[in-house]
Amino acid sequence: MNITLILALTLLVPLLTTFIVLFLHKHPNTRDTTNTTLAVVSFVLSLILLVQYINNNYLQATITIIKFSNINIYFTLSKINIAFALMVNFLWIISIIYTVGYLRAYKSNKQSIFFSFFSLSIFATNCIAFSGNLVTSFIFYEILTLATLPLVGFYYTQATKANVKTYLYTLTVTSVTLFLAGVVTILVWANHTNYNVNGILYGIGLSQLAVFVSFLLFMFGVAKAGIMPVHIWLPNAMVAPTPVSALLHAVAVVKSGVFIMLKVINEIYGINYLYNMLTQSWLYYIVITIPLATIIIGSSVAIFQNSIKKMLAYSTVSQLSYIVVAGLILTPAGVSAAYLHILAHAFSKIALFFAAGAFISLAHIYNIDQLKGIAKQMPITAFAFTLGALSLVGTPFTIGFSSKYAIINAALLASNYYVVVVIIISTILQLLYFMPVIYTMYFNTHTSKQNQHTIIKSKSINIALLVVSACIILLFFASPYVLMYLNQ
Amino acid sequence: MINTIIIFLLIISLLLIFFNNNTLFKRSIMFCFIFLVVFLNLFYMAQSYTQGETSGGNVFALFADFTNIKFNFLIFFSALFIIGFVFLSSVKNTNITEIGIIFTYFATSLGIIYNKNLFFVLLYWEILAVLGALIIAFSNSVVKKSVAINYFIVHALSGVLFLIGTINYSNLYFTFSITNINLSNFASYCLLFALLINLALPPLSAWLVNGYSQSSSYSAIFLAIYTTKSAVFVLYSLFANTPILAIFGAIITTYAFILAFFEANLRKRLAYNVMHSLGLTVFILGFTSNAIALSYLLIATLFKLPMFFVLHNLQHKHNATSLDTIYKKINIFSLNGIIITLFALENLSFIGLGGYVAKYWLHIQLHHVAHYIEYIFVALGAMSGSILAFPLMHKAINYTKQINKNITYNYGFIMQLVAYVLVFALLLAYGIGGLFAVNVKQASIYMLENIITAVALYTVFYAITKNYSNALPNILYLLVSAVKLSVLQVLNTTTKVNIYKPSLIAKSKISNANYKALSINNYSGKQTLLAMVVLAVVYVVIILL
Repeated sequence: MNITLILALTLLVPLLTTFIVLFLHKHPNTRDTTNTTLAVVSFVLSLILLVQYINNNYLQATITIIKFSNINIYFTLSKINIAFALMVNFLWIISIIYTVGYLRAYKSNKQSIFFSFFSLSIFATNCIAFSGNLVTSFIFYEILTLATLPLVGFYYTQATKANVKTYLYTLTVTSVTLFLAGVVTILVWANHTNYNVNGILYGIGLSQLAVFVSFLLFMFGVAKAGIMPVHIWLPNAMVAPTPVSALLHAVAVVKSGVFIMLKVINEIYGINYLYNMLTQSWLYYIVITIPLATIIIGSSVAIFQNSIKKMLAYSTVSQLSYIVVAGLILTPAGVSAAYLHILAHAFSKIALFFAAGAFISLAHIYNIDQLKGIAKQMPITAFAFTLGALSLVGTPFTIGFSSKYAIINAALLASNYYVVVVIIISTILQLLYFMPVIYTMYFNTHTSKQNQHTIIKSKSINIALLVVSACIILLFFASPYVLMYLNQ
Repeated sequence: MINTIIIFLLIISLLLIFFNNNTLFKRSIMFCFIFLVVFLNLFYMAQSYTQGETSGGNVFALFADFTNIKFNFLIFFSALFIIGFVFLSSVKNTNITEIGIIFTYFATSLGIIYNKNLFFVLLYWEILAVLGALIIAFSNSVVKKSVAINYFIVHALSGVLFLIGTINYSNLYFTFSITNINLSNFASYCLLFALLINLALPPLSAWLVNGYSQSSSYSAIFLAIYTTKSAVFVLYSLFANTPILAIFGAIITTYAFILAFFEANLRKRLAYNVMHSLGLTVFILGFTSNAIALSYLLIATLFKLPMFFVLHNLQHKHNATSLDTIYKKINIFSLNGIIITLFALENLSFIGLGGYVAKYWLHIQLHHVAHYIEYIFVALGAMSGSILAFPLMHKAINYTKQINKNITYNYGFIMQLVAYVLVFALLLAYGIGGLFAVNVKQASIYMLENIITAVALYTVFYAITKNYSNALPNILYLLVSAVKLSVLQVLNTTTKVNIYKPSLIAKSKISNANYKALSINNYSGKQTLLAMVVLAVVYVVIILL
């Protein structure tokens, strides 16, 4: 099959799903089956792309939608694009299986609309994954914000109004001011924004300060990457249903943010160019201190949260900066480590959110102190939560260990001890907020009968949790191959 | 190969923990696994031995090769696990999941000992930390939450330092193979501090004392055996003979001694005593790359182990956990009483006992290089053990006197005096003989001395009170412990490796000049003789109390 056609289908299947699930709103079983099937199709198409891409010696394919002077919207294949799309589409399948159980437990009557926007978000994420230039990324970044807005406001009430507004305003204001300014700046400087593995700014003769300022535009403009202080949308988005939180935090939104950031670092500026321009001056320390501070502050704030979802939100803020920091080590090893951490964080965090969602939807537990002894009643959920947490901390035999190993390795190879020290501190901080939760689940017993929870059974939620947990472990063993693929 | 086996066993045991509700079935399987692990490890060890990992080629020679420290650790870990497990079987209301975790904990620690690959050691290291925290979390203690979390966080800090060190190590040396390295780069400092955290270097030492005292009294046995000993083993492999270790060792030792003084909780006092042994081992590794330091630690752990049993009994039978609550709880002639007495003697390095042998080894190794400063730390160790054992003994003897005051003595004062004289004459004679045992014949005499000492000790107690109640088990216990140590001494002498000639044990690190200096021929033995006399006096005082 023509590789361009496969690429087009990979992009279009989620869009098609958006409409099909709406048409099938009166037949929930058929809708859910079709939805899952189309997600599987999308995943299989991404897989075929990967195989074709490797077998045909890194064959190129491009789909141009609009071309206007030096501004064009087009999609292309690269090893990173395919890997990211593959991950997104796989997690989409698991998310659907989970969401079916979640929404049915809630007996929601807006399930079709939910699934429709869910698919639209995946469509936007796939488009970001295969973007051939920064302009395309920017456009679909905005579409993603709009596609997720109805999901975040799914339980729209007077109480959650402010949170939804914060979500919308933060993401749109930062993108249309800072991110757009960054895109235009690059367009003016290089006359195009096409991604290139060596960067596109060589030989333009920019000053250090110009590069520094333009880079900050991206750092704060791509608010989906969760750099402080533009991270505030993230905890506010927790008013959304948990599958949406999982989508936001693990699959689509935040990953798109850091994915674009890595693209900017690696394929717009180029790591060698940034290295030459920034590392010789104090400006580099400002650039890298911002995500490093986000790691520490995000983890510290997470310690004091009682709400499970809020704790996980601040954990995400911290973890996203790990990815940015790894990219800012400005070596090929650092960039590979960053991409690996996207994978690690995606699976670990989705396990955590799925577990949190199971606590909420099946046991009506919202806070950490309500989790006492829940492991006996919900063993699979508690296990998935524990595994996700241990993976994020970097425990061996989980994918989190591999990515942490890769980041530390990159930092040490670049003699960047600053990063290493922050990783040590943040590991301890992560334990400080995860360990009490794990402990409460397994070893704190009920003090009264009031604490006994009525648990709703959901097979689909358990299946999703088990699959994600298995992936966390299996990816540990697969991680050397993933790194090999990324380094080629 | 060994990694595959251990991982396989881990998976099986975890499956058992999670998916089987038949307790009896699980217990049986667990027991089978213990022996399977031990067997597989022996097989692996023997195989690697015959393949030329160490000198020789005869599988049976391995069992007599005390220079093979890895083999010593294997025997030690496996033997203590079986002993601990047998003890565990006598405890009612144990949690089967906890037992499974203890088993996994043991298998993981073997993973650390066997691997020559730093990366795999790291993997096992992290798993060990998780399992250690779980073991504490399973206890019934009210403060366990903070203790378990503290334990895990401190070990995670150690783990991340170990991870950083391992990565840097592989970047510098282009290999993960463990070799002795100097403190010259970032990797080495990270690894060293990771190890020292696991060896309770103050101020990050609270995890050890709290962990050992707040975990269930039976699981504390396993906690005390594996984490720290594994860390010592890796420390030895990477940093033996690194002078700065002496300073860290001195800090750990002194800290443990000082804090033990202010501690009323018995289990905490024992934990400080364990910590002291670790500190002393680290201290010794600062001066020598000789595996003798590790042998000392193994023996020290061996004689501390029964104290864990005693404290468990006191806690569960009498609800006594601190010094204030033990009055009228121990009879000096009960098994508990005898163990406490032996523990005191071991700590005081009384001749003929394991503590004496171990410290004598140390002294021969160190008295030139360490300029006798090891005496200070050995003495601190003796005192830190004594401040646990002496109050217990004192109260036990008082209680025994009370319950026996109406009994009429058959032998009278003269017989008691004869018994005392006989015992101390024997102890002194064979003790001196043992000092110069360099061949089988003399070692056999030394063995006899041990046995006679054991019997004589009991005769003294018997003569004082004529208490028949615990006669047989006590005599058996003393005999077994004496034979155990004696066989060790004879085995040492029958093989070409002589414990009294340390230069033969140290394969390559000691030069010829040092060899002569360390040789027994140039050693007067005056200091040891003096120490022995002093200790004999202390012993008399203890008995008379």
